[in-house]
Amino acid sequence: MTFDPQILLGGLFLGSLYGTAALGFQLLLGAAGRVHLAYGHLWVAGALGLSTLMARCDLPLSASFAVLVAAGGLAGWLFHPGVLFRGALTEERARSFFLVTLGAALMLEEAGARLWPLPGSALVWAPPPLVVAGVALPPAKLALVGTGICVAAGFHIYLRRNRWGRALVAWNRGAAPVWFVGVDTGLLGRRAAALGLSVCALSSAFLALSYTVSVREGMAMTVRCLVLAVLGGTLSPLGVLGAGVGLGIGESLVGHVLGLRWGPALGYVGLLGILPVLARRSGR
Amino acid sequence: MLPSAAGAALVLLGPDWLGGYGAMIAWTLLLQGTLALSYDILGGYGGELHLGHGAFFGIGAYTAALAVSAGAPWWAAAGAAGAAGGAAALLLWPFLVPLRGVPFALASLAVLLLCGLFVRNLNALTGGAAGISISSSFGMEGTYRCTLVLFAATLWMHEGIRESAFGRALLASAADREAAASSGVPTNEIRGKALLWGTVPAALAGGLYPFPMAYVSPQSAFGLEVALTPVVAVLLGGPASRWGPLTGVVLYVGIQEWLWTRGWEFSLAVVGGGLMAAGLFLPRGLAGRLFSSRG
Repeated sequence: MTFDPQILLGGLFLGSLYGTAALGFQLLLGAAGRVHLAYGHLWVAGALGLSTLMARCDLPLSASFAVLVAAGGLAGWLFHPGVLFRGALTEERARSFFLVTLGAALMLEEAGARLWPLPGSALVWAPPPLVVAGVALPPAKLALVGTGICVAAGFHIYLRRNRWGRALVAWNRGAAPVWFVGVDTGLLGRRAAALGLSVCALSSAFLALSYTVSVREGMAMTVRCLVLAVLGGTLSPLGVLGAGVGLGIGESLVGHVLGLRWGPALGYVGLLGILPVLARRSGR
Repeated sequence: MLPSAAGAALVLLGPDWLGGYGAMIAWTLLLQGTLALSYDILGGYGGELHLGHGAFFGIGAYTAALAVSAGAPWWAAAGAAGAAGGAAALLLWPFLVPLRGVPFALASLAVLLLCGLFVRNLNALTGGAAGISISSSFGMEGTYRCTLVLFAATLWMHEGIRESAFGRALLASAADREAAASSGVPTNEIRGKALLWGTVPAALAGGLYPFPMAYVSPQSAFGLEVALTPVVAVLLGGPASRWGPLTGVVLYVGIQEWLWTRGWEFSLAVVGGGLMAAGLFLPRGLAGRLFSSRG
């Protein structure tokens, strides 16, 4: 078997996509302390929404990006905080949060399958790739890598320098201190959810530009995001992006050796392998 | 009294009297009832969201279909399905049993997704996305009676666990693992046994599934709407209760058939809606709300 550098590069692009998506996921995970099971479906719906905006509404690329990111932020601001913080406060609510997000995921999958029965992609922005030393570099995917690095660096600064970012980290470690110092936890949840879903929408826009999208990918993506958040560390943006690149390269290599359809197996096996180790380490 | 009479009527009347559609509905109720009761062992008494329970049904269905395709008689195929389910549970024991709460639910979901991925991709063995068609003389009547026996055995086991020392240890482990362990309950062993005891009836039910259908596919064996049906039924009806799982199954299958007869096939949306409703409005399930004062 010969090694093709294009495989490694494909893995880097794929990993940047996963890492960027997981950056939004980890904000929701950090705010709620619970796994948002509909996240992957929202990500896929965003990508299909972008292709619809461009194909049916004739919106230019930049406007479609802006509409999608704004819609993600608005959805997070308006609908998510109640669910997130209801879920975060008590252990009984954790079950409720889990069921509500899983139910939403299934309803989104059914709706997506009816609205977009076939896998699709916008692919309307496909300028010729740059060729460096015989290796093709598609501009959309280069932009994706750049965006992933910028978002991760931005989150890193936000979580360490901004008042709300620091409050989110403190909230993730324990709710009581945040209440005692008088942080408005409702607003904290709104900000985290709006920011998280905006990044989800941004990542899904790159998904639509660079890859074929299927509504059946939602749950697999949620599992991937969880693996990345666990591997990279919750509210550790650079770690999550790095883990994303690692998973992308891993999937690309698995796909090269076993066939493309086996790629997602790495995430599932990773989850099954990681969780018992973490449970043993935490003593629970 | 009423459920016993309904059960006796199902035994006596059989598929001949019920007619094609009626027999199919009755068989679906028995099959889903078996799955819901077996789910309730770890999902109800054990207090876990066992989202991968349906994977064992799928493993059973594929094992039986492969065995029949290889020329095995129906009883050997169904037996092999139960054995395969049990073996899978033993294999997964170290990965699932140490986990609790959401990590357990996610790991069991990963098992389901991984199984679906395997049967879709192992084309030479499983027929890939197209699935496996089987030809067997063991039709609806035989399957109906076998499913009825399996359902009765699972109901008996469910009730037996409820009254046993094992069941009390399982409930204690679900309520507070550390306290139960401090009281001498071997929590991991108890939960592992619950996983195994719940798995075998589910795999046996899967082993009977391909005979009336004459077909098994990744979607019909490992699809989310199939795998999550017992979860929704138990959550709707009420976990860890005598009538909860069965109330949920009757309600869920009833709603799905009602939609089906009106030409609406929103099965995944119905499952999703059921989960959302259970999460928001019925934290203890319908039976929990209705029968709480009566025990």
